[in-house]
Amino acid sequence: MSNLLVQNIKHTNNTTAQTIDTSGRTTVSILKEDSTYRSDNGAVTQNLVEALTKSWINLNGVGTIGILESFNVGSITDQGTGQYLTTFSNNFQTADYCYSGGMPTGTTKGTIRAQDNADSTTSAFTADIFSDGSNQDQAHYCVVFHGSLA
Amino acid sequence: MATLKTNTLTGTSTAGSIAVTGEGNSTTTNLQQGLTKSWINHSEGTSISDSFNCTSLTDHSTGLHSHSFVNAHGNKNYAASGSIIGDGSTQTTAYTYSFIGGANNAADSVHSTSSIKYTLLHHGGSVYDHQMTQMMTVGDLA
Repeated sequence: MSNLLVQNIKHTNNTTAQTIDTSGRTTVSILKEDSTYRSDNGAVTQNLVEALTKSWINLNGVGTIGILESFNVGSITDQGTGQYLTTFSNNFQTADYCYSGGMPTGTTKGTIRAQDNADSTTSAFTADIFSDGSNQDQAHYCVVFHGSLA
Repeated sequence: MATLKTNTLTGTSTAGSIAVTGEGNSTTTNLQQGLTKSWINHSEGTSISDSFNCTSLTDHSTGLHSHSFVNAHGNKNYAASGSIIGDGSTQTTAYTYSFIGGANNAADSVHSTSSIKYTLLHHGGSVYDHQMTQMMTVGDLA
């Protein structure tokens, strides 16, 4: 086997694209949108970027609402009891993204649903719905979003 | 197209943070934050049908389950989402008017870094065991 001893791999414009560190590891500054990964059992490849969760949030909806933790969420707005507008930091490409949610703590008997068909590329209007048809504020309100980013 | 063969991806500036270009080419997203950190598919009882980063499924009582994470979350504020298939009364229904909620009392409600506890509820509010329960979590790992 031949060995090629290098520390950097560069474009002809002299921009370093990859660095080989002293342990032989290569660095890639960014994974492109067409990156694929080999499946768990090795039989197929899938698009890595499409498979990522693009945004998620766990918010406290009781009293003055607040974000407990989130990813790709710029702000939230209280739209009424159990109703929240989630605004994304990086927008989706279309409003046809997919989301699901839950309220896994407390004495909840409800689930998450879309509210007023008001989703857009920049924000999603979601609400909880309980077995009696009501909306209720919850201490943990979680929504997970999948889809294509702009 | 180049193929990168590796067993582990690690960020250069921050080990647990890798940028990925979004589908529309105008933004980047974070690989680690976008990964589903655990998922589980189980029936009633304590048998896990398939899972990732989940272990020790416990059947506490009718419709009340918990499971632990193999690699714990970094904090308890991760986001959890789930759904249910099969009505508890027949165990064969392909659809259901049921959902995953918290517990019937606060003491039974667990959302910790190492485990999560949840109740399987019929739309009427009654607790049932169900044919298939699916749950996933996203958030920081420890």
